[in-house]
Amino acid sequence: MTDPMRTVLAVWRSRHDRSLAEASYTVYLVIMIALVTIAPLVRGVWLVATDAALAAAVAPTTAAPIAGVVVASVWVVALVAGHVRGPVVFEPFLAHVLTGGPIPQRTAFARTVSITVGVSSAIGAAVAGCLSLAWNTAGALTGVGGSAAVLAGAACGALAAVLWLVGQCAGDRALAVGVGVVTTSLVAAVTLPSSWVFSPVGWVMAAYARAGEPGPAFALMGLAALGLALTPRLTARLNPATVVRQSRQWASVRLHAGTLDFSASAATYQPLPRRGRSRFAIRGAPLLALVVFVRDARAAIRTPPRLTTSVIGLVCCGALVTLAATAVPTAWMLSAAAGLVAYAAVGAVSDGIRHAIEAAAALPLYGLSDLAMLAAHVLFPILVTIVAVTIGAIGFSVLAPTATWTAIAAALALAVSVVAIRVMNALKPPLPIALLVPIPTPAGDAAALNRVLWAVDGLIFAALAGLAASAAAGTVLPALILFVAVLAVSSFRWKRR
Amino acid sequence: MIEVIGASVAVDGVTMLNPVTLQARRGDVVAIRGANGSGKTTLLRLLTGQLSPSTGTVTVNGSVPDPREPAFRARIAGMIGLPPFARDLTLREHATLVGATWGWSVEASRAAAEEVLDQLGLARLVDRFPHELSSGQTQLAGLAVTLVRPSEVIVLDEPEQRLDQDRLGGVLRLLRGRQRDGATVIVATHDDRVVTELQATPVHLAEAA
Repeated sequence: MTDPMRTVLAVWRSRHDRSLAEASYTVYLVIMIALVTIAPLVRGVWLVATDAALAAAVAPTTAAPIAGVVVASVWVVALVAGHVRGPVVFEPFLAHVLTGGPIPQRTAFARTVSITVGVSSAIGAAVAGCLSLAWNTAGALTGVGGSAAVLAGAACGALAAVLWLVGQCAGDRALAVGVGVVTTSLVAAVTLPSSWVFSPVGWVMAAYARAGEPGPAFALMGLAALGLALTPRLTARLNPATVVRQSRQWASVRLHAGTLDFSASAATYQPLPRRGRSRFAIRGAPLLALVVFVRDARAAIRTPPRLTTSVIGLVCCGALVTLAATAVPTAWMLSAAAGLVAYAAVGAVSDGIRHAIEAAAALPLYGLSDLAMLAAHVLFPILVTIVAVTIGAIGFSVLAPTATWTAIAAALALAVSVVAIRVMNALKPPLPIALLVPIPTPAGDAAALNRVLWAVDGLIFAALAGLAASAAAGTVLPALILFVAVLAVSSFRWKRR
Repeated sequence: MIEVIGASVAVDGVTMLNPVTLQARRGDVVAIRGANGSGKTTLLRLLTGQLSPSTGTVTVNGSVPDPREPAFRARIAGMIGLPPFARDLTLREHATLVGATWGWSVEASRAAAEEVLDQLGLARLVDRFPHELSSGQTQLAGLAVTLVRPSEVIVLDEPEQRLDQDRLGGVLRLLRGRQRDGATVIVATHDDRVVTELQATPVHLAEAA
């Protein structure tokens, strides 16, 4: 670090000088959280990982392709995430100072990138080390080379960090090429074992399958070293405007998350439309509701990746509900996950609902009543949801003939419920002051729990909707009760909008 | 006919608007004047039914303002702050959709939208999304979607905000046209040009506590 950079950071940190008492309290919090929350979690994971049956199932000899898919997925996610929120992000003012000042970017960003690479490598090494240790403990394997596994894991972690930085530097086309390269490497390694030697994902699979052999680990280390050697060039090439924009967005996300406004946090990264303006969205139709339906559909097409992700999520939701109905032991988990996936996916096709509710709270703008406008905007998301969920459910029932029509009906019930929950969530007013009142208990202030429940009520209702839909195969009562509850909350909020 | 008689607003013992009385008939233009904090926006909120008076009465065509009542919604168009924009619609689509919901055909609505956008100097920007506009252009876009719809009463809070003199001229010409067509215009403003060019009757508000 050069002197100017050291000076900048010293000035910046001096603004946040903390007293000894504050520092002690932070240490106390970290220790208590580690003891009360993290330690039991780690123990639980360890017990699961060392279970003989599971260890045998994910043992190197059987699960190398899974390891390849997992690592390649992490790399792809790192690339895409970098495009949205890369590793080089600061407080907005510090970002402005560092990108607009005389300090070269490779110097100014070196510390941040080094920390990212270090943490990512450590996580990779820890995961790989724990896996090999678990196999040995469970007796699924003997003589597994722990050091080779740790080296391979660290290399995979370092590569993920480098790809995260690449994603931040890359434009749309370069990002697509990067994702294509990783995906091709994965497909080649999975389908052609002879290509392992030429494919980085193949090296991962080889390191996994031949645990203990240093060759693949060294190959990954070499690739990681090459990537690390490129980081100074990458940091120098980073667009200052990208760093400032991502820093501002991240600050906004943290601010909203701090107030438990997760919808606003998510909206920060909502892609803005840039295409499709030449196709006029308002078309004549016999009914005004159809005009609004077409408007919503054409508007959604203007952000194709968002719409595609949404539809894929809904198709997966249909498959999950049908899978859950085949009475696998983890049915309840699959059902709840289906509800959460559907809730997240419907968000991308519900912009019209949110706009109608915003308009209802403002001065009269549209000639329709507020309720009619909202009803018209519900048509598009409900149709997309029903169609996509049905495709997922029927598709899965074709693949797994044990699935029944009842399960498909349950998937449809979930589709309708989740759109209703989206309406309920869009109507949510600001946090009521009553929820800020402390609730003293022997374990501390329980008011925080109320505030968290308030913030994530949509997610809770969505998970419950998944469970209720799954139960609908036996009785429709839970689904009905949930639907009525969502309508009651929505109605209450609508009257107080 | 708008009638405000001795209307005031106080919240938790704090005066937001001192008692005020005004009348406006069809085709009248009233300019609400006063220092920051005198209650101009509060008075506009009374007229649009977003607030109820603590004392006195407010009526529009003999009825208490109620933004959920269809007849009142049809009668009054207002902009107090920016209207809600949909991030995925262009300016032309916004204005067209607003017109279409008031019973016009899409073609007629689109023609009306383009006319208003042109009058406000936004003809070159009709295919832009809201996030592609400057602050002044966003202000004009807000005025466009507010003024494209039919109304008997137009209520605007400082329409001159963020506008250069040319663009303000376009807004004032549009408002004069609406006034000639019989609309009543109530505008809160700090700009003498607005008062002069609209030949508005000024109503001065005393500073609230």
